[in-house]
Amino acid sequence: MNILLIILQTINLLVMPLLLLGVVRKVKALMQNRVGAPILQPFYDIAKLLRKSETISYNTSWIFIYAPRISLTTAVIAAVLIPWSGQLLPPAWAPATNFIFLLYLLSLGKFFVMLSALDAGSAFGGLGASREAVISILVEPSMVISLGALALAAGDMNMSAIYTHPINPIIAGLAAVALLIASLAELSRMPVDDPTTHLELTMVHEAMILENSGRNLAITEYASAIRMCIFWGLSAQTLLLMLPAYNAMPIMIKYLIGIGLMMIIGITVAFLEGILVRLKWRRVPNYLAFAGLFSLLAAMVAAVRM
Amino acid sequence: MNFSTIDLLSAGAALLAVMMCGFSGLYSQLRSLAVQTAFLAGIAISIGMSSGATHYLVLAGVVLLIKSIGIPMFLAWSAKRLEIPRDAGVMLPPALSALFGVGLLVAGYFLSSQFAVPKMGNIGEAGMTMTLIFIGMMLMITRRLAISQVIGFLVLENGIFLYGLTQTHGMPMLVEMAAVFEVLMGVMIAGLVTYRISRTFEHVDVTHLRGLRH
Amino acid sequence: MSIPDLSGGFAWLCGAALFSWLIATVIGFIQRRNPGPSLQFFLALGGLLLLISAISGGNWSVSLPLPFYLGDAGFNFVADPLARWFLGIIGLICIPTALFTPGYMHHLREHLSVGLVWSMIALLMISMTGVIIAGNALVFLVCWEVMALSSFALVAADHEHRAIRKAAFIYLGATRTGTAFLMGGFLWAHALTGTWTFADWHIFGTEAIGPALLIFIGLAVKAGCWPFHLWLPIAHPAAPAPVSAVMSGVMIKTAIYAMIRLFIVDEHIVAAFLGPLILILGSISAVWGILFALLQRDLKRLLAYSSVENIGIILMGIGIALLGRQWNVELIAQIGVAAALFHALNHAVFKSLLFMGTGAIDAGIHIRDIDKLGGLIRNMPWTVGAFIVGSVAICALPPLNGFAGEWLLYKGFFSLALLGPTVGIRLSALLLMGILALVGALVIACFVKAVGISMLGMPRSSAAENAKEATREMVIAQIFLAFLCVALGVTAPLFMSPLSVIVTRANQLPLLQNNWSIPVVAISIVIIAGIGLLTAWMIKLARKNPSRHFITWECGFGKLGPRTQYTGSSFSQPIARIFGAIYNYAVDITIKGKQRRHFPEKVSAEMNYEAYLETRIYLPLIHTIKRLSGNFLMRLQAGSIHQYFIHMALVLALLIWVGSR
Repeated sequence: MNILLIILQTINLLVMPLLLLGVVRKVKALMQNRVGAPILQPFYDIAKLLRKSETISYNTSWIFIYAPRISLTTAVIAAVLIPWSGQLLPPAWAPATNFIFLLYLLSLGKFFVMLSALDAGSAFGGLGASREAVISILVEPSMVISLGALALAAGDMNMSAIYTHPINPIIAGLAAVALLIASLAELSRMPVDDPTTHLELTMVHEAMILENSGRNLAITEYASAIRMCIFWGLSAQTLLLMLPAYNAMPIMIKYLIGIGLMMIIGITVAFLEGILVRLKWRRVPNYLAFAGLFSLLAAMVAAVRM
Repeated sequence: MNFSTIDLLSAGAALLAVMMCGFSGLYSQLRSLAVQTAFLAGIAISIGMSSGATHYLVLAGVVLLIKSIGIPMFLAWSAKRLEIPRDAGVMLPPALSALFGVGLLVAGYFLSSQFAVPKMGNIGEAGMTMTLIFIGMMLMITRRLAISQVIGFLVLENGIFLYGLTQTHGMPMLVEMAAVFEVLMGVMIAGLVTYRISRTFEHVDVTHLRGLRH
Repeated sequence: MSIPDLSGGFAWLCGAALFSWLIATVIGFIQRRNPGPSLQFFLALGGLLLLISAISGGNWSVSLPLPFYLGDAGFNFVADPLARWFLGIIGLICIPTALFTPGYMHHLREHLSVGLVWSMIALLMISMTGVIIAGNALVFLVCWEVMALSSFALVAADHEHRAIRKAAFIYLGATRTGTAFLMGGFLWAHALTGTWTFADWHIFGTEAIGPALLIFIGLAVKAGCWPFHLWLPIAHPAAPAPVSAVMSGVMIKTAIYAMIRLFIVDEHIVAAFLGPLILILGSISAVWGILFALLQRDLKRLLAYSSVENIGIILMGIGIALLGRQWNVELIAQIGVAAALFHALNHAVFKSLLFMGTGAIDAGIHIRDIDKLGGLIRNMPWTVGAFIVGSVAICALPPLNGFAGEWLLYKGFFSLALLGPTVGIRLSALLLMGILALVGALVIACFVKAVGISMLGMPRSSAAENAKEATREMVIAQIFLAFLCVALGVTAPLFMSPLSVIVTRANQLPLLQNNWSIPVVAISIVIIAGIGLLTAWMIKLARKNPSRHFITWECGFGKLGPRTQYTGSSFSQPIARIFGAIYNYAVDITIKGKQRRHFPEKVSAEMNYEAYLETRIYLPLIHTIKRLSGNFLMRLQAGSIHQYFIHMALVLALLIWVGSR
């Protein structure tokens, strides 16, 4: 494999998550008629947080200290293996890109983050963990079914095979819509969760990481940014599967188009965040039912077209 | 993997019908209904252009004007006048409705392949028409407000219209026009009567009709 | 498949294991009140010997000579790879149980005769081994009954509590009903084939429907499959913790063994309806079990419902294997059985670990209610650490063993989707993947609740505050099982080869080896390296900016108390509300006070749920039976001697009439 490609993909992994976060925040600020922070602000934030010490509650245990590290490690491994930017992997690594394995790896991180939320013994932690559990229950089946439909159409469970195989554009389109709807919930964006408020009424993800501070918070924020890249990048790649010509393009063009589409998805989400209102909590299952709906439709088309 | 326009449009109509099961807002349902009927008009135009018969184009125009634009606008105006809450009351949680809708789509697809009628059109479209019919009936059964039931009836109508359009050689033009105007009349009457119901009973919740028993 | 008749070699190891347990039984009877360490030694020795015979042995079959005779058939015992897999499970779980039990029994020694409990545990082990290696139906039934009776005695061990007596009674009733069905099925099969030996049964087609149905129902009751699972959450919590571990981890798997042997691997009874039936019941069990587990406040009941869910997963594997056999797609059949077997092993390991964890807590502070625990991680670090490993395993998170089993099952579903003959089957296979994902997410929610509320945070009662770590032996047993969880997960690819031997029929190609593909070892190393690097970096940063410790952020209200934390019911409330229709979930909140709205004085919230299966089906059924036997049959027992003589004369006349035809 080209050494240049490896360097490029490493820089991609280091830079893209925070850059995407910065772009999303900037667009949202513009939607709200503010100037907003500079696009590179997340980088400055992480650097600042790393320079600070942290405050650890008396009630917590080793889970609170290790959970962010587990979350970041699993997020990085998933980001290396999931082809969210059209990256190439050595063929020997293909079995490691099994979509069930990667989804469950991300769940490993989520499990420990939920435990660390309950570790501090505050009501916020319980609130965040309980709501996060509900959201993940509603999101996991749709993701598995839509990726399963794609895998069925490609004949293989490994993502490196799925995303380089020609797939019926209808299946790809339906699966992409399902993944987008589900990812908004999974990443705790509007309309399910508001990442900027800290009120009990509106927090899910922020409630879980409320106790984290300083270095610990830097790791946690970085892990969430990586997950944002993974899910939106994956949705972008699924959308690009609808164009058969995409796979035939040279690697650099593929990569640029993939990243570009991911940025466009981010900008669109930020645009919608400026318009949409956060859903009443009881309506979240209704919203996520649409993800299930599209994933089931994708499954049906995949089963028929076989 | 090449689909004709008719396939795509009828699939789009069925998809909108399924999504309508999940919507709980009245105006979202009306918008979906409008787009769905527009798709059906598109199918009529497509058939007309490929077969060269102009009466299809006239039919498409009438359907577009009356059923796709006119009736939803009338219903929306009616709803606003009656001050119906934006929420079209449902008796089944919308999440379950949406999943049922997908189930009905699958059922429609399977059942349409069992029909004993001679097939003249594509089998996929027969499945879509059955979907529209089933979902229309389901909407009528599981919604609480009278206007929502009218919307369900209109989806049912769309299903029958689509069936006639794609599976047969087309019904006589006169019959089609008569059907469209009949629907228009029916909806207007329904709208006016709903107004009267609302004025008399102060609501249009059909579950309260059971109180009329005693 | 023909089994070479070597009545030597490893049969002796198995026999020695049984003998060792027999010694333990006798010693337990003799030393009732204060048993010495010899019991522990013999129990563990038996387990070790059985494990060795299972891993290393070849196939063997033994028939006991003439003094041992069961009326219509002799005692024959058979061990082939499938049986040895389950023998391995029994032996493996026996060892940590033997380590754990003395420390646990210490807190119960005034209430019951500890020696008798040991005897019953050893007897249970003997009978479970007997069930697995039984060569004919009669031996099977005898050992099945001994298993049922010894486990009943164990469930009723702490018999001074009325609730435990009631639970034991319910358990006895359920297991007798199941055995009745099983006996009926075996009798029917005997009537069709004329022999009791399993190896000679080959029943196909329509005549297989009857026996298959009866045998399946009998086994399903024992396994805890929906809708026959109701006894499981009543009986398992009532038993002492090590016994719950053995019952949940091993005893219900003997039913799975019988199902796999009779229906799939040797194909003694083949009926077409079984595949879809087992698949559907398995899926329902999985979802139903975990939904109820989310509502429980008692840790052991939560684990018992979780066992129902895991049996559902195993049955899903068996279901798709049967479907694969039906359509002659060998790959699906092999993966299905392999997934079921592997998950049976993994579940035995992590469920025992979890039950032992709750046992350690229970033995120390006598509390099993989640809402009264909390903060145990500071006082019982090893127990809680092992429990967390067990939870990660049961949530099927990589790279531990639970993930390995469930991944195989996903692979089975995917193969079903790829190779299924009709559109409906392919769509259902994708749906099954979705259901398994849903179950997985529910399990994560359930165990975050179990661990987070009962072991993290602040203690919610003074007993929890003063908890102490369990005895060294109990800790060692738990750490051993935790280590097994990790080891089985990381070495999962190595298991494909023995599993392949079990699941491949004669004349078929072994397809399983090519199907495990995830590099678990590499990923585990990367994960550990990653965490290690981050830890080193954080420590380096901490040298310049040391962490400070302070209280949890309380919004300026002042010091937070343990009562402001989330309780178990609060945690599961959003989920329970979504699925509320299944069990009539309702939370009733009453507010009392002079000015209720603005100045409440007392607020109470009560959570209610109703198990429809229990209240609408089983209880009315039981009441009807009680009424019939009470009112109607009582007339027949009028107490008058003349009536009894008349009955006897009538029956005699009937027998003469029947005999003369």
